[in-house]
Amino acid sequence: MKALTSWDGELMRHMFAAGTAWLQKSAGEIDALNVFPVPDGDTGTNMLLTMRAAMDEAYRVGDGAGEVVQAMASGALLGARGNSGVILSQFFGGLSSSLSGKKSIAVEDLARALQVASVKAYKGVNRPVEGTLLTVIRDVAEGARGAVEISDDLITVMGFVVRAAKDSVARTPALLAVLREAGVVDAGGQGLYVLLDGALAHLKGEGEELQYRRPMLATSGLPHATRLPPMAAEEAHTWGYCTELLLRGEKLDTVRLRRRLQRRGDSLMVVGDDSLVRVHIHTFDPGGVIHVATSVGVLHQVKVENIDDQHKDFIQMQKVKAPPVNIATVVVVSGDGLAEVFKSLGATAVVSGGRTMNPSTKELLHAVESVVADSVILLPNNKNVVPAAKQVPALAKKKVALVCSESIPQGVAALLALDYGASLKTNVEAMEKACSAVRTVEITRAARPARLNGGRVKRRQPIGFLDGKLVAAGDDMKLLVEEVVGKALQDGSEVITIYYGADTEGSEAEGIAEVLRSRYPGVEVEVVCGAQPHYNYLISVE
Amino acid sequence: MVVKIVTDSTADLPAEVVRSLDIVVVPLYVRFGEELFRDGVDLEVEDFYRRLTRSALFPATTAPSPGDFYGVYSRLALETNEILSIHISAKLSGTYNSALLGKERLQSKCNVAIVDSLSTSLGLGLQVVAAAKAAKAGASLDELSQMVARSIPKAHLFGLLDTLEYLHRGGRIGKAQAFLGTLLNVKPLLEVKEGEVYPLARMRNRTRGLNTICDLVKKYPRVDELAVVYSTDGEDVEKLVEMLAPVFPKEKMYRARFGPVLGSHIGPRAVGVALLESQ
Repeated sequence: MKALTSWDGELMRHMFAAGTAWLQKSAGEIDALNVFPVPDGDTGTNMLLTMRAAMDEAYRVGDGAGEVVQAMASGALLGARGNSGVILSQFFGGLSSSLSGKKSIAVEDLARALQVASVKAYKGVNRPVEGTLLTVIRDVAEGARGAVEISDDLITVMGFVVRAAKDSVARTPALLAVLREAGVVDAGGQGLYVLLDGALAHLKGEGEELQYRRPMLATSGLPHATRLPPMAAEEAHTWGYCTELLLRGEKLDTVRLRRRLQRRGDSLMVVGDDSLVRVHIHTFDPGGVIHVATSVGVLHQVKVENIDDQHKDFIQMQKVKAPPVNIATVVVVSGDGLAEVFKSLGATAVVSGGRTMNPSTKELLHAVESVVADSVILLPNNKNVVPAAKQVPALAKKKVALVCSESIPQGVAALLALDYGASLKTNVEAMEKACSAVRTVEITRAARPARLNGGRVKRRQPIGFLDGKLVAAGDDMKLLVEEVVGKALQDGSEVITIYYGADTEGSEAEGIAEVLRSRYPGVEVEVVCGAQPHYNYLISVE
Repeated sequence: MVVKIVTDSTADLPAEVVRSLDIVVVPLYVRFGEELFRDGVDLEVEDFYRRLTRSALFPATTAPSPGDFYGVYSRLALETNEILSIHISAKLSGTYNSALLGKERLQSKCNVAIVDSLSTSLGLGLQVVAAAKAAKAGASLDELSQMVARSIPKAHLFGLLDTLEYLHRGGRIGKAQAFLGTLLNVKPLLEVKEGEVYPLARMRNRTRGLNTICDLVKKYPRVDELAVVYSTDGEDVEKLVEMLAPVFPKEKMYRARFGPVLGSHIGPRAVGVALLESQ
């Protein structure tokens, strides 16, 4: 390929137009990555709209490199949307101030302009956070600086720039915990990478080919979270108002204005020049912000949105994406660990209760009515809860089926057998069959003296039940567990799951598991913290 | 003139079947970082699984380009005037779309019919085999197209995975999303249904998973073709073959490997059964 040593405005227009088209293709995916600073899922769209505004202006001027970039910068500033859009407008603002007046540019000009853009982008944000679009912009500038040392070909240098952007995006989860937890890379950084990638493709003459392809988003090498990304905080959280305004005036002082607005909210951005300033802030007092702004200039384009509403829309959007649940499950469980296990298996609602704390019919009914589904399967998971649960189907306004799971292991087996696509009836049959295929071992301490096979059981002595029947007592907890599990095992038993209780050490449970593994080599033994009260061990044998 | 049968590398057809039935396989792409491989052409299945389990890089997969299909169709157009091109579900890959775009550019009079199989692996492969046999026997493109349209709902594919992690990372998890995040050690049992990955059940261990697959297969009383497929760990496949022998003759079963592209999405220690019901 022939070396390209200078760009004019015409070429810049075309490459950024290609980049914008490329961004358009992935805007939706970038939206889905968006978790910071507010998980409102619109970063890709915002960046796209900002770029469109920039491109509109780019076509209204001549062919000098400087004037095109300047037009883009002012277009971006006027049309900037959201945090990332504003940062992007600063990026172009920086490029523009560095390239001002140039007819065409060479690699050194590009590298220098990117440095200026990086500095300006950081200045545009009140409290810069690493692992975001800002970091990617800085790394891009660094990448360009290194590249001009080895080549004067703009395509080669842009190749390095794009590579730097991609690598930087991949590193963002390492820098920002909220990304790491959600298992995503930064959305704004991703947007910039895609934009530059599209521009590079145009330079390489692959612009035509792009219509057949989709942008390949950068991903991080870090292990992804295996759980669903936290789409939104579970607790009610008030975010206030997203307030944006454009301010015109003379000798506007952005530094001073920022200082005056700083304490009025979060995610503050005050960007622009001495005649045109854009303000973006998340605040509980939009009126106060507007009051400050009117005292220094003339307001244009004021936008105040309830972030709560945006947030609700976002949650709604995520719901649409989540697989629809036709059949909900309501389970009765006590113990944080067990509740987590059931939730992870897809239980829709958990009602707290068990051996001694039996939930009332009313509580069960309330849980059944509150889940968003027309059909509900109720799993009592304890013999004592079954009577109350039996009342629910007749009282509920929706279709409720009871699967009489009498223990936690039965409940787990039943939930694993749920087929979301099958009918309620088919599911109930499958779940009942699953219940009967599992044996339940329960180990606890005797609440009062009792008799067992002619012998005596002392109060507080460890005792073991198999499928609800008292079968053994002993002074040594570990030996007792091993004995009762031995009774529970049958030909073809393959998995033992040990849920240890709130008052039991995990190390003791692991010790028992080791003994069982060596005694029964063909059987898988899994240990899970159930944190249930009363029962030292709940064990399923399947 | 014999109708040419084209498919893609996700059909996971064994090389000798491809050769003997004269099937043309268009490769998808697998990328480890900066290294790009054509599925089954530049990357052998053993090498791939070694990389998958040892490389720090997670593989990405890409559909063939429209240009790839354009090239294949143009070449075949020199020797035939009818092509049947059967592919992986469009809900799982852009391959079908690339094929359509490739056909659009074709300037030849050659007639190309492109079909979305709504399946993949041998769920696709068995349909391709049936079509290729009929083509050899002299069926016309029209007859073949009708035959494949009928075979689509008759093809079934079940898979027992060791983990959902690969499917999740590769973004092809579909409705099996519901199975993510399980705190207990479970093996997801999945079906490709109406072109999408569909969660069937979560098994506490592999033996029970294999048993359940057998139960599913036994629900189909009239099976024409059957294949067992695996990614790594061949012993499971031998177990499955033995378990299925009472319902389908061992010597007629196809045995295959999930190739690099599907392997990228299902991971090691996966095993599956594909079957084609009689029409």
